[in-house]
Amino acid sequence: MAVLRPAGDFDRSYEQDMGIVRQRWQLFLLLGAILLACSAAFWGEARFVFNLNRLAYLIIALQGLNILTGYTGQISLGQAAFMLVGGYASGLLAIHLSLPIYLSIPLAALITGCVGLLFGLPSLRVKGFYLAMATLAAQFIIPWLTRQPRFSTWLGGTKGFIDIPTTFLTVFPLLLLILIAAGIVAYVGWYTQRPQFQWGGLAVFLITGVIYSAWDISLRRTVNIAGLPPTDLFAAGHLKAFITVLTTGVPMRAWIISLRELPTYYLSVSLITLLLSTILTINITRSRLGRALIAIRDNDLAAELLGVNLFQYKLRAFFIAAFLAGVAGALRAHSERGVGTEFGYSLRESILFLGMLVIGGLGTNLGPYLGGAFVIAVEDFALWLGPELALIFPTRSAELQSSFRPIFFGLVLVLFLIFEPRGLAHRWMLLKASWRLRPFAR
Amino acid sequence: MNWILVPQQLVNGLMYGGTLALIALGIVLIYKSSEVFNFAYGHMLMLGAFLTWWFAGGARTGNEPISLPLGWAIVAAVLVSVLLGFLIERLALRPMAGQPLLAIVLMTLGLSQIFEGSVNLLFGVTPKGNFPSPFSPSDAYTIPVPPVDGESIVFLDRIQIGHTRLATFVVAVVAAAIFMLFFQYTKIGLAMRATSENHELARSLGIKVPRIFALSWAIAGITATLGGVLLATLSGVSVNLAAVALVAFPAILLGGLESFPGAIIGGLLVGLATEIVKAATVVEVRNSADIAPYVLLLIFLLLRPEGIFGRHRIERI
Amino acid sequence: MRKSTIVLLLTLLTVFILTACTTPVENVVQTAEAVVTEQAPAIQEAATQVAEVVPTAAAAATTVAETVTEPTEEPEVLPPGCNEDLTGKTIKLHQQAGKEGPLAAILGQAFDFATKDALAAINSNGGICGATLEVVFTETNYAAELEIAAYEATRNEALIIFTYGSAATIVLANRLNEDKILSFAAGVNGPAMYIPRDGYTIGAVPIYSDQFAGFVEWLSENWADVKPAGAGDQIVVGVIGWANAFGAGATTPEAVAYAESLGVTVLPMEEQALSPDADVSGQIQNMVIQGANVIYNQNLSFSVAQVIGTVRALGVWDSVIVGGVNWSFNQDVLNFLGDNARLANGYYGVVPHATWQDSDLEIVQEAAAAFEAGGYPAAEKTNTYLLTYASFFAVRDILVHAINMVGYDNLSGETLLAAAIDMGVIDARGAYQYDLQDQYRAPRHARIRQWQVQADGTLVDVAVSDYFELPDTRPPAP
Repeated sequence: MAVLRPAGDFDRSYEQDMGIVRQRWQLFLLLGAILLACSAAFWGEARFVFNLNRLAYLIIALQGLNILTGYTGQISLGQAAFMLVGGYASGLLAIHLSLPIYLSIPLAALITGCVGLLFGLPSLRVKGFYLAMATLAAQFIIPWLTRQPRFSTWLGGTKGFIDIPTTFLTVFPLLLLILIAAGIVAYVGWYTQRPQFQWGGLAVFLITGVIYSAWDISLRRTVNIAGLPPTDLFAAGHLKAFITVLTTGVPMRAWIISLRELPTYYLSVSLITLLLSTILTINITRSRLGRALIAIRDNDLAAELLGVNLFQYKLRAFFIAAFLAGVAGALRAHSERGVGTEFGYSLRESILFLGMLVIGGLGTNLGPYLGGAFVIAVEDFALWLGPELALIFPTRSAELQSSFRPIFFGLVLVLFLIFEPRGLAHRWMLLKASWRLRPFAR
Repeated sequence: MNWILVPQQLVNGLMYGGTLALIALGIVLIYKSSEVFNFAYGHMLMLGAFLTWWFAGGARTGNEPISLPLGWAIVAAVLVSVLLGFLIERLALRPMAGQPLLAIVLMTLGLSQIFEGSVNLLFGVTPKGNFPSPFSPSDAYTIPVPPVDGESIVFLDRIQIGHTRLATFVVAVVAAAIFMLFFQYTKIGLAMRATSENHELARSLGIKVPRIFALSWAIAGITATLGGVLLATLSGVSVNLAAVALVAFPAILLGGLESFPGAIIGGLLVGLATEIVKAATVVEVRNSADIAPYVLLLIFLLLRPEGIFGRHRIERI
Repeated sequence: MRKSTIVLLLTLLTVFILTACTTPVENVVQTAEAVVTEQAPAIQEAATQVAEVVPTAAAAATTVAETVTEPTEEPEVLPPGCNEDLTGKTIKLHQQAGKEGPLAAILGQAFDFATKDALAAINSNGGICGATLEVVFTETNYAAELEIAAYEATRNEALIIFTYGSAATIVLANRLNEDKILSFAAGVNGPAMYIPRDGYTIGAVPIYSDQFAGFVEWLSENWADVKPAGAGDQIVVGVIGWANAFGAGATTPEAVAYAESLGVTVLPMEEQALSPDADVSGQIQNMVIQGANVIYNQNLSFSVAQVIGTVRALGVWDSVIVGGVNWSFNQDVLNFLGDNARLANGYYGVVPHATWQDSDLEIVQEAAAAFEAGGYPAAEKTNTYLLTYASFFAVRDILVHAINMVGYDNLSGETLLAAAIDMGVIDARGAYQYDLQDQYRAPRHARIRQWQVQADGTLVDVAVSDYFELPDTRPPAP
């Protein structure tokens, strides 16, 4: 599907050619969508907000799986187990080291990435079905390990979960302003290719960041989280309070918020993380790394002959997949306020991920979005349909209420595999092309 | 290791391994003829057990149309499963010819979800304990064992083999033997082996390859039903029966993916591994019985990825 | 292009700041340390507020009693026991559980049948002071993720939520406490219910560690009478349980410490796979080899049947005592044993409620009639049905008491909990008692019952002890 552009739409620079957001209207659409999604708590139902949050972290996990399965062609049945690792890592960092989530989530993702490497090691020797089995082993062994009584003080032991306390935000206006300013200066410097801005901004950014997080962590150690009164986010006066703190001219003021209104808060965190992970995966797939992975998928022997180091690149794919699974698991663990096998992370979820990916479109950047949203919509529809039908046929109510979720998922998956194996993403491309080419035939 | 328990656990492992071997055979059969990894096999097995239960009048609502004795119920269930096997092959897998491995794996996973939902819809969600089993769970044969270290605790002077488990093992072994003979000596069996070697060559010899595919799915339906019935006599019918196929996959890999004797040996190995760990003195090791097959699998993947009887594949561009 | 990227970045920051950084003005404090010091008075204040509620509640209760005794003063006819007529109104409760998925297959649907029948019975007998009681069901598969989703969807309107799995109790406990929504849980997880102590989760049965400690206590007191032939004086308990939070519920450190204080040895828990075709002979043999003369089941349904069958097959049934948690002493175990139900002869259970055998109780007769009328499969005639059926009458009493205390318009999770605490012991029409005294959140009394084969060959559960108070093995308050 060649990219069709209207007449007169030319690229004048490399940056323009590589731009993800190419048109002004696209930019506004994107900003509008982000604002709309972040403010869902104002206008959406609670269930919708919850599902949006769930969708956001599911998509991040799917993007990881897409790199491994969609682009590199290595089947993984263990993505849910890697999410479990990420959730535990982030939770433990938050509990025992009092790390705020902007530190614990990236660290947890790195740890998960390393665990992913471990289970990616067999990919040196085996592929296809064998590798699927190796990841299946991960899906069984990792949850089993977390339930061991030996680690019960850390991982919860046989009871199968640990509680993660709600987190809170700290705002230190002076440092925050310096941080933001330095970030912008560094970015502008990078963009305008002025090294002095770029490196200076970056140095200030890093130093301020370290000071800020050190202050944040030390504060977290002294404040009793459970004792903070719950805060109803978005209630009247919040914005005013924030502006007051920022502008009253007492720059050393600290501002602490207990975050109990979680769906709202985590929705914004998840959506911003999703944006970052999307940029990451798009850039991976159109760079050297992505091309190497696609070469491995299409023909690994040919790729090797062309100079792609198979083992190294497969491991990289495993690392990225597990890294993103770790991010998703950490987000999930914090928003569910607990992590462990009692919360799921089962084989069924890993299978669901693969199904979502195929329905959305393997090896496309749009696939995770479309597949995740479609499957969640189908499942919600099934959960709604069962009880409705049960009202009509009360004698079979038990059976009717119970059967549609697996049937619908299975049916959708089978139909897609037969009639649209390239998934919804491909269908969307066709739709776009036919819109651009109208009134002519496709 | 609690050596005093080892003989009993060896026997248990053998019995369990027999059932696993039969299940593994069914999966290998489909793989050999059509290169499909059937992740829906566990659900076919569960469906077979549910059908048998239903044909035997297990629903006991008072007005069920059919209530056959166990033997005929099994035959009826096998017939339905064979039909279902044909249908799966024709409707779901033939359109997938030439698709990559992932698509086919997902197709069977999708089918398994449909089966699970359908069983819930047709037979209800509660597990059925009233499977018409000819044995009681407490009946057992005993083999006397001389006391170890001069002392014998209650049950350790003998090895116990439950009637149900022994019957399961015997049926599994007989079925496996029939399987091998079928493939060794009958014309259809030979045609199937030829197809598994090379589709085009088989076709040029006048073998109707699509028919062979359909046949292999039908036979898989038979073995699945048989396995389902055997497991159901042990533990009743429920949706959870499908999970046993997940343990059969490590068995297949251990055996070598394309080999019938391999599937049997692999099944027995996995069965033994699962039961032997229960004789350990450390409680953590005992509680690892669930993951023992996968640990064994990982070791094999690192040391001998092609399995015991597998052939090392040579790939060309 | 460059401009637009910066605009994007700035917007992102604004969005982040707008969404993440918002708080009431009162929360703005000079320094972080101030927060710490300010917390303590606030908590104390809250505590005194709670304390104040209770006397007023008691006062309200006495006024109710007066109005009831003097009906002549009231020209309008009020529903019995109420000082408000709510005819035409609806009280909506919420229920979240699974009718599909692997766990639903095990736990069955008795709770669903019982809910419908109990509601019909209550509403045809005047409802809640005339108001219709309604229960909204949400499907969760017993999966934690969906339990949270169901909760998030209903929390803005929910008064009382009924949950049926340990996972639900665990994941919802903190949320319920914060949102002040009362929850009746069938999965009684000690830490979730008792940390912190003033929680909003009320258990339908004693917490599993209490049950285990109670069973051990009863054994040690009656060991001479019940001990199996050939057993010594030392009680050694082996525990077999599911490999999840429910299975780990019995052998908490407190329960084990209590057992050891009685001189009873508790072996480390043996895990049982949550699967109908699990083989437990290894676990049983290991327990017996380590000298166990008691086998305690922290599992339910087919898993209990597996243990019974295996202990019988190993030929050690007569040399050990086999018993278990209340859910393991349920009709579905016998359903699984089917024609071999007699194998369960002699199995003990810790039963904190009436069973179908207590047919002299009005509630049991009524439930039995409702079950017959419903035409449900006989296999669903479990203790779960009876327990669920009775629980709605206790909830009715709490609602009526709360309405009398604070009025219909002020019903909330907070006032309902205050009403329940005010009632202290809430009797579910004799079937069992909720106990909210002394910061308890679950029943504290149980009987030991045993399955015994009768002369006609049927298996019947027989009480072998009176109701006795279970030991306190709540996890320590933080």
